[in-house]
Amino acid sequence: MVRWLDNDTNRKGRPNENFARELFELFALGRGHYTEADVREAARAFTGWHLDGECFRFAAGQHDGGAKTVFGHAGAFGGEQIVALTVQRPESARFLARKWLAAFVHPEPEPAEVEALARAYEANDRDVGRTLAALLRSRLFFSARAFRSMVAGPLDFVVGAVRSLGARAAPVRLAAAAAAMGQALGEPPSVEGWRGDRAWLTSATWLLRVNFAAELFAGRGGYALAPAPDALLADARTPDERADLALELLLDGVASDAARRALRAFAAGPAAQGRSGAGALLHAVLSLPEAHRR
Amino acid sequence: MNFALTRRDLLRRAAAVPLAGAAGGLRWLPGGDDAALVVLELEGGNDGLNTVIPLDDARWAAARPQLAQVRNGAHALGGGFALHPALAALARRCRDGQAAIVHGAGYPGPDRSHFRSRDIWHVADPAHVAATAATTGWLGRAADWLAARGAAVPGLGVGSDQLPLVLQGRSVVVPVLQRLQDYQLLTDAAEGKGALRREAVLEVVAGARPPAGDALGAFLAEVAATAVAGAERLRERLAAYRPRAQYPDTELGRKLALLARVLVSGFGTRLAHVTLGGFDTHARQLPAHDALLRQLDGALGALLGDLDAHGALGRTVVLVHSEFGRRVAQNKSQGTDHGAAAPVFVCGGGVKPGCHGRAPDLGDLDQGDLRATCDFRALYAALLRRLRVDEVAVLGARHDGVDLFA
Repeated sequence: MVRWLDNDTNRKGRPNENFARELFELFALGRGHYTEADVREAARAFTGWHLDGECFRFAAGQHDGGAKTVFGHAGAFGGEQIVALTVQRPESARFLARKWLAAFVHPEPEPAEVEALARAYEANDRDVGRTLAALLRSRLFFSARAFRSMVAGPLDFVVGAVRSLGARAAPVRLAAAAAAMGQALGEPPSVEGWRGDRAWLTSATWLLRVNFAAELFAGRGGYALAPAPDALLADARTPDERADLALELLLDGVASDAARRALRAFAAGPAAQGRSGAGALLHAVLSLPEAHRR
Repeated sequence: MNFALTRRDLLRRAAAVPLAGAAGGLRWLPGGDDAALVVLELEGGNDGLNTVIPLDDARWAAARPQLAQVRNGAHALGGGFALHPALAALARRCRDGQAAIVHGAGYPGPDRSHFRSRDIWHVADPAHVAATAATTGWLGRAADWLAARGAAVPGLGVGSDQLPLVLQGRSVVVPVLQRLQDYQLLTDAAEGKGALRREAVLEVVAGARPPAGDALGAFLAEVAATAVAGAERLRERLAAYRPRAQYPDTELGRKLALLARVLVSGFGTRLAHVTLGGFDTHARQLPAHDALLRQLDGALGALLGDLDAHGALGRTVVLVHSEFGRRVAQNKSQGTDHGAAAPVFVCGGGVKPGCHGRAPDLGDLDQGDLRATCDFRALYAALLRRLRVDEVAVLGARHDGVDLFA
């Protein structure tokens, strides 16, 4: 964050506002909950937060130790105190709660859900880990409204394809595939992060996903899936059983009637026969709309 | 959208748009034409004052003593303005009458946040606050309008891996193209059954319709249908194109080479969006900005030359803009901070060359920033009229005041 938001050039007498502004706008408060004066004053508190190679370094000589006024509080604040003041704002709890709900539960959370999670976060002493643990065990998380309500991201998709089969594949290859689909690990496209949900999926990334499935299940591209598709589907005998088992493995057996019919027809057709037939069937499952939801 | 597709429908959809070919002239719109718009967005806030330089204004050099070095080697345009030294090809196009500059593009109450200002330009609404799933961009709405009149693949994003907000439509899913070789449905060719598998996957895509009322399912089915239809079209159409310009081996060069291929091949694209990032020059701006504008000039020059050689420049317009300009005064890191109004470039067919509008007054600043003299929605309206797309359907109202085309 220090590098990306130019805080390396934030010095006493030459403040750079970028870090303070994005802390408020993107990471902790959202627009409308701070003033331009808050940004200017907070920027002074972050002066001297620099880098030494890859490591954080506090350059005391570059730090502005003077008095600042942020959110109506006055003091000779340093960066840690600005962060503390920021997360104590009531808007911050709601802002974070909305982000977590949109990331894990539903793209458009209800105000009451936001309010409830914000209160849980505050009751958990603003401990993010404990709050998320509570969220991921909640009834809301397992509700019908939340079930497959979002577009699966590239990592959800590539890792999910392998793990739902109880299989293993080369992680470096999977990470490269996800990067091609728009999610390079640790490298968001901008400081704002990924837009997520529907923005994950374009016709081009859809093709990349379905082509990834073709290679993964054909044993090409260096993914080295184990066990192989043949072994995964060995227990099913008829085409319908094979289609149903493929759906069970990859999608927990939950798919629309039309999807199941289309897949059973595929399983009975020539493309699903022979040595590459099991891989073809799994490939077809990942072309279903259901395979791109989470 | 109608999701009762069969595989045959998908393939018919792929073939729906007539081929332009060497003869040009797609004429499927009643009373319409085949004009195409390319929007090239400079991400991060391009420093307009060091791009189109007000050479004769002493206040410019006084506000940015180090940055004013770019006047050496700048390309004079007349009227007291000059282009940055790196913009040789653009300067030539300006002189040849194929490029214009519109001064002072912006909007009332300028926002200094990259993300909000970018979204404001994308949505075409200065009052826009936060995007939701229902938010649409102006090119997406224009694509909706064209699709409702029979265009098959009217919009296209190039080079990004996510759909930019500007291309988000209400009903049309706009494809985004990264690399041509990825834009096809791969199959297990090793088994010699590739075509068989492709057909069978197409059957599954066409057959697996989501139940009525499932909005996300409908979206996913539409993405899949757009993808397979587009891939089929590309397979058929793109084989014949050969570039007639040398594209630089840069990020933007590769993107524009791909875009030219699509524009020339009769793929049906009427609206395209492409980006070049890195313009957020807060520190040590001179070398960074020079490299960025050099990349822009090389790639854009090649695109214009390639389209010209294929006889396609006359029906193509390229808009080059950024989410905002930069502060008039340089900062203490030899850079510039987020600003407001900035000039834009409009290149291509039928454009009235030269500088349009009134340049912002360096003596009348708003918190150190230039005041807009041209509402960007009026600029959009002029471009939409050129495309013969209903500006009110896309922008919600008429926006007069910009007259760019002869």
